[in-house]
Amino acid sequence: MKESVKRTTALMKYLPLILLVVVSLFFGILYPRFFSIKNVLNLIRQMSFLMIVSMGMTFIILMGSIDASVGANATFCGVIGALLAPYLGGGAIIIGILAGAGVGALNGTIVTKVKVPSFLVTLSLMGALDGAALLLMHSSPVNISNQTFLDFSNGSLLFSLPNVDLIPIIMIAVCYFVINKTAFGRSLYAIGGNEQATFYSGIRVRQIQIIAFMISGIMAGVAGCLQASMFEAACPYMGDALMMNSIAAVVIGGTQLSGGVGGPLRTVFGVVLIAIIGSGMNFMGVEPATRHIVTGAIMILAVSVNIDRSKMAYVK
Amino acid sequence: MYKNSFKKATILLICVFLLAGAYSFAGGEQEQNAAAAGPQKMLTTYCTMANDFFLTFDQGAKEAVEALGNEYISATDDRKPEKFISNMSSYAASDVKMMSGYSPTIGSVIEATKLVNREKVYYSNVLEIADWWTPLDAGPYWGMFHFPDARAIGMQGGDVMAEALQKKGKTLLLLGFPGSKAGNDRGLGYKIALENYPGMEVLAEEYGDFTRDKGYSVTADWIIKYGDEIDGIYCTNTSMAVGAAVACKEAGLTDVKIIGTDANKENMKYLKDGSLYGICGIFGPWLAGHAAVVAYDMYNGWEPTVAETMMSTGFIMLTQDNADWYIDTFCGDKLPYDWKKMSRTLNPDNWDPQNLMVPIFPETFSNWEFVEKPKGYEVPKEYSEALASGEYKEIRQLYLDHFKDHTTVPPSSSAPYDKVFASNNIGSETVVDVLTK
Amino acid sequence: MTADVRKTKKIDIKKVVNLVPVIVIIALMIIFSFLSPAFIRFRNLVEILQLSSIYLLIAAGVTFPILMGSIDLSITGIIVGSGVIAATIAPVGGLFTVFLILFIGLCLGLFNGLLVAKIKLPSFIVTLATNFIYCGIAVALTEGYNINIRSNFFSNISNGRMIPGIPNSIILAGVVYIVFVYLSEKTKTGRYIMAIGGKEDVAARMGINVAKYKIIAFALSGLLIGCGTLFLSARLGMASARLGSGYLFNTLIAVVVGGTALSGGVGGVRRTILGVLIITILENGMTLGGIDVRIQYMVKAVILIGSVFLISIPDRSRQDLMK
Repeated sequence: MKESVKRTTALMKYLPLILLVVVSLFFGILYPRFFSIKNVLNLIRQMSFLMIVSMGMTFIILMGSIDASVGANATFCGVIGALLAPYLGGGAIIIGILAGAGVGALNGTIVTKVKVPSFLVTLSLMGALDGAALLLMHSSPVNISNQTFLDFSNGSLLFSLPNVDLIPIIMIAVCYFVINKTAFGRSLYAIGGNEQATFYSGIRVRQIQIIAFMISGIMAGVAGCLQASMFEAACPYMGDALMMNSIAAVVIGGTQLSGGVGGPLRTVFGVVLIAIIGSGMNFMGVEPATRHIVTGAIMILAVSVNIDRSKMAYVK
Repeated sequence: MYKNSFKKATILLICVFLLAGAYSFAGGEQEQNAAAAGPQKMLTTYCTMANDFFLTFDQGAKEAVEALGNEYISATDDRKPEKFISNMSSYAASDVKMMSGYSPTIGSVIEATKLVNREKVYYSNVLEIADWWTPLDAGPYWGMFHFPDARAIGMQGGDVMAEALQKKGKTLLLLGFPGSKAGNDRGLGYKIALENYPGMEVLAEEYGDFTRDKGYSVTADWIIKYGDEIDGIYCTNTSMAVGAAVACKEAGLTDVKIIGTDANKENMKYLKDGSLYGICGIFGPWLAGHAAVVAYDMYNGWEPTVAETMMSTGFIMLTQDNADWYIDTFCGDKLPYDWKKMSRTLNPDNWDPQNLMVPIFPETFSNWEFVEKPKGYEVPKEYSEALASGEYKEIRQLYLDHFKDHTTVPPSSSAPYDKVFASNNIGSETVVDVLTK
Repeated sequence: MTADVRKTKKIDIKKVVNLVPVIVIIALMIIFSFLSPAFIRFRNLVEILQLSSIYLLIAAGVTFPILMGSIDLSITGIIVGSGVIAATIAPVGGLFTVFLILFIGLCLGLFNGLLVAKIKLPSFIVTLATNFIYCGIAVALTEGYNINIRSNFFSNISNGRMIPGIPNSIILAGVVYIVFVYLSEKTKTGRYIMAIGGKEDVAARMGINVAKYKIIAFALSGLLIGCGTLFLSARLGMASARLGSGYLFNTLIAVVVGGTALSGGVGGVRRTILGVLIITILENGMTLGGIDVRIQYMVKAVILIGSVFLISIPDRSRQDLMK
């Protein structure tokens, strides 16, 4: 009995990987060009924003919270970066990312100090940030011509690998290290697992929550500036799709919304799966309607094979 | 206890509502009288401010209303039909008597036009109209529908594309979002035009949601799939065209010809630096302003004839040759229109629409060509009577004669694109009327 | 003696807190009347109530899963799904269309419930996913266009006036709402749903068939959203795949501002009406007051976070942490 449970858990562990291979093979056989180096780079390029934001989201969901403001935050930071680019050049990116951290800190503070559930706080702030971004850009795209700012995505710091492909990889490495190798990371799991007990065990839960929200904000800031740099402009609502997709990516990867179970590498799978399916459907020229249905079905399928029910007391 | 205080709260709330109601019954009439003198409020509706097209749309409506000495109000609906109707209903309740603008879906036009007739508000709209629903179906308060013909715009785009590629090439088609009649019809027009050129081909079509980022990502995938095969991309708006241009530039495809629809200050830059090959200008600000002027005229007693209830309006083609002219004329702080001069009531004899306008005959309207009539629906017979009596031809000539101020017609130096085009379906078949300086 | 004092003080706070939504509503009404005199006109108040009637039914529906500690994010999906599927099958707009909209709403909710209770998936992800699916079906059926329902009978469900000056949708929605308040408070179903939200394991040990009541809660949610869709479609005379996009955020906020906690077991359908009124008064008042849409977003965020904060005051001592 125990053995079989173990075996299924082992199988569960590799299911996202299997799903990924099956989906990739499907598109690969259908379109030989799908796995050309050019398209793999294109894929990485297209998933980079989602990857970065989802990394940040992983921190939040591990704690059992949620951050619905990431998409609007990305737009907001992108606008700030774009507006400052003519004056500060590359420095504008740093300010943009700091703005993201500030929004994250605001989220975290309201959640922990004012004690409003994170879902509501971030959902409300999403609207406020969209409004603020629109006000800042006068409702019209802010074009960027500063070369340093544009190099943020198209330049290359390392082995002629474009930054837009390099940055997500750095982010994955950093997040992996922080979540798995530091006390901060362990306390995220502890908070997600049993917040009350963690509180009494002496971990400074509130501080950790605020920092986690700031990390999520920083990631949104990086993604927003990267997006602005890549489109050569900060556009209204450009980050909107990131919110739902990043939550979906984290959950499809197998990190549970109730918190305490999962991790950044699982999120990588989730993002790659979403990106491959999205790009594959573009290749096939799938109708938007079918696209919606496929996305929904894949989400249910991935979560139902991925979820570890033994660690859940009951399903809400 | 919890229930107790809740009961009190509910009673309190009902009291507040009753008091408010009583106040309004008592004070309502007084206010109405006070409002009759002085500047009137005029409402313009559109979807969202986060869109270049609607930004200039807002500018046009505002300039027109203020030129007429009235107070401008705008209401946006985020593309939600329920918010659109609710906005109109609220403003009708606050005695706004003149409304104009854009409706977020074609279907909501029916309820909007029923509403203005119920509430006795003068209304004139642009661009979107419900299938088989004419102003005469709704009632006298819906004055005029303005429509730069989507099919004709797409066909024009196809011709320009063929010209640019020397009649031989593979192109892609970027549509708006699913359900946008204007977007889909422009795409359809493009494909119809390409049928005349055996060497031209549409490789693929895709929805780009009218946004720059979606235009970018769809094009990036296409570039992988088709690579150097791509010769041109036709986009049903210019935001997507700019996204496509950025994607092509990044992939090193420099000689892809990209054509967009709707010109404004932001995207003219991309036309000037060669990223875009051409843009179709549909005079968004003029549409908004003229619709407001029509509502104003109706309020002041002017009644449109049957032929005038639906009008096809002019559009132009912009390339590098006339980009500077467009920027100089339209992209300053103030639009080049004399809004008061458009008014039939302020200038009964020498009014000037300042754009090409041709009446639309509903039975052969391009927008409805492939849509079946709803069961039991017949177009009001007044329209065929007006066609038979020659009213349509008279009205067409009338608007042509009064169009004297040619500031908004491209200069002759930009031939062959020195023309204003408008679709004309009042003859035996649909043609395009052309006007030069 | 000291203990007594503390006790009365606590009760006072609770009383005041229960009044918070009402105070917010009155304050908003006063502010908006100053901003725009037209706001307080009878016809505009009717407009607010007509807008509320649609929100009220949808929000009341969503309250059931939330009371259980679950969530329903497929509001938009059910609105467009039930409207479009019904209008495709029966575009005439007779009694059959009305029945179909409700029935399809119920079925879509039921499907959510089955996935949550039988396959044991978290409702957050189930409803997120089914939202995509339902919207996809609606877009596929209509290609994004709308289906106009040109029937006077259908239009009269919302726009007709049995009582002069008051649209039917206000009266009909009120009746439906009262029925469901009764159902949630006085019947076994309502009490069991509440119990599951409080402590699911305890409820299960008491012999409550948890899975069954979960399914019922989601089905009720679907039915009431279908009911809201009916009034919405009747008002606009159409069904469309782009109809319900703004409802998710507003209804969830309305439920929570009304005092129902997202963690479940606290609150009720009864109080949701207050949250709905706050939302609709805000929307209508700010539009009439001519406030820039972009600033409207921000004002909404502040007022909503503020109200939730005020409402949660009495429970704060019980909650050390917030997720």
